[in-house]
Amino acid sequence: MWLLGSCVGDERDVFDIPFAVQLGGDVARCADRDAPGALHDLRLFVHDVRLVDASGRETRAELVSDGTFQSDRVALLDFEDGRGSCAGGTTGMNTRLRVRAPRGAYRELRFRVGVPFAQNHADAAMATAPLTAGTLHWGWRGGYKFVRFEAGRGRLHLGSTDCEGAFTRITRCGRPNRASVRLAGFRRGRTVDLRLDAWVGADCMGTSEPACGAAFASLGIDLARGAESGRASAFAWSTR
Amino acid sequence: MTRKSRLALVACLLVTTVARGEPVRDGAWSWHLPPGFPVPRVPADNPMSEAKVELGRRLFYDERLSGNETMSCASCHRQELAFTDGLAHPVGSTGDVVKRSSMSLGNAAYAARLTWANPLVDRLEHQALVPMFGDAPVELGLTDASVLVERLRRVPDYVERFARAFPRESEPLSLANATRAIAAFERTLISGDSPYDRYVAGDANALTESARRGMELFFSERLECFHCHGGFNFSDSVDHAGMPEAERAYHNTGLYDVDGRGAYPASDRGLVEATGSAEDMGRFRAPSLRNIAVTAPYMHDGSIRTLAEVLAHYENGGRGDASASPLKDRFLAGFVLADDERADVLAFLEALTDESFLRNPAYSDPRSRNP
Repeated sequence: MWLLGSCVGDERDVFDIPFAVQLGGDVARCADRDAPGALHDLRLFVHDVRLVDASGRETRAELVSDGTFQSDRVALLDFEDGRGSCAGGTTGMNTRLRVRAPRGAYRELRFRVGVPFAQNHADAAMATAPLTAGTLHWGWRGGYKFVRFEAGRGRLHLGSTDCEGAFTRITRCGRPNRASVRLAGFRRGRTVDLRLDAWVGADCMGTSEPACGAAFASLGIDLARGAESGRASAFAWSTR
Repeated sequence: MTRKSRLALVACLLVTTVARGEPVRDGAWSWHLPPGFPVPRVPADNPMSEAKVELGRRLFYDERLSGNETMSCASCHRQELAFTDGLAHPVGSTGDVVKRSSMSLGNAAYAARLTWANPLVDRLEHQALVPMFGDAPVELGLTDASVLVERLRRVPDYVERFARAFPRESEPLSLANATRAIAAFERTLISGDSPYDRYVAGDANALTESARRGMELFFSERLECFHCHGGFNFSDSVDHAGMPEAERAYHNTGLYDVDGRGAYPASDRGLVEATGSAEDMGRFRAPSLRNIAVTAPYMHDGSIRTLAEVLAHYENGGRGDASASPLKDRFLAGFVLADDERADVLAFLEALTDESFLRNPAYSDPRSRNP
């Protein structure tokens, strides 16, 4: 068993960025039985991880491929264990990003929520982990659900929409719906909280309906264009 | 259209295609196409073969393809109903109600785009993933490709059949190859032996007098049916190996107008849901009319029960107030038919039923006692 935030492998430059999820100030998780606040599902893809030093210089933090939750292009954060209120999901969970980066005094963490364009629209039947076909592939949209959140009546399925072309040959998407996250105050081992409060009232399948408003705002995504437009306040450093 | 110009059109179709019974070779595969039918477009990475088609047929009828092993593709695509299910809203393996009715798979090989209203889906291989893994609604309810692959791997017959269908591959049994085999089987579901086809091929007695009059009406500028339901497959969403580019054909048929500006109900707004373009509100793909008499109920949501009521819908140029929808297709002007003319058009539509297609043992469940 390994500890969150511990250094493994090449201990000089591989480290974990732990994540936790909060709802109403409490840790959100699957429950034995469905109850208010219990998750039904929470999985999201993350890519383009970068670290910023005091001078503002951005350094790429490579995702360490593990054949399950991370390839070198994209990572899947998975907060459901398929039991109880999360029945139908997967047993395995992944609550950290494992990255490799040059040593340095970094002050800020940056990443994007979503799957990079090239991987997002490739043939899902041929995909390798963590993009192996499953319910995270948004079949009829021709890409992946970047975020799949369900709890109570709340539902957020976020992915690129209004795409053009045809499956495996998609040329552009009218609403990319990727989120850009920037968190000043980085230090190794510090936990990123994903706060779900703006999502529990959503019934949003990633389009521009009003029921998406609060969830999109919390991800800093412009509702009309699906473009990165502001601070993704759903992500913050844990204060626990 | 006059009789003369219609016959000229038919003759023209025959010139560019093949005569009855003459197989068209494509590598090791031979297409046996009805007269007037072009060669289907087959993706370069999924050439046809007997072994693949037979494997695909078995997968198509296999309940292992659903999460809880209760449903197969055939649950919603029954051969005797031209591979539809007779329901307005099919129910998935876990009880989810599907908002659009199951489309016929007859001549799916020729559909330029698949499903009712999704221009992204142009290959049967990709379409298969939607019912398999879709979760809103759940249809077959698979959640993980590895579950399916493991299930199939435990069946020696599948291990053998995948190896035969995908020779030279180190891991022939895979999700991608399962969808390829299913697609190859679906491409063989070709229907072109209806009384209408036999009439066009020269059997003057294949159509009744009434059906012949109905055919004249169907192809007339008075009814305008053929604009959307034209060509060898009675659909303008058509593609085949000889076509440089398929048309992007979707139409609003005036079923709904909830706001006086053409809006469809939020539960299903058609093509706009896929494209986000306002002009695509209420647009759906024109299905082929082949075997239409056995594929009730009609329209994307099964909201019209009978073919006679469908004809009345088009006679009225739309449904109720929605016939004034600003987004309605321009060919839905409406028309007036005498009672006997109405019967004639229905007789023609019924003459598009291909009984041999509905019973062809090559398309049936391989486990059935009378294969």
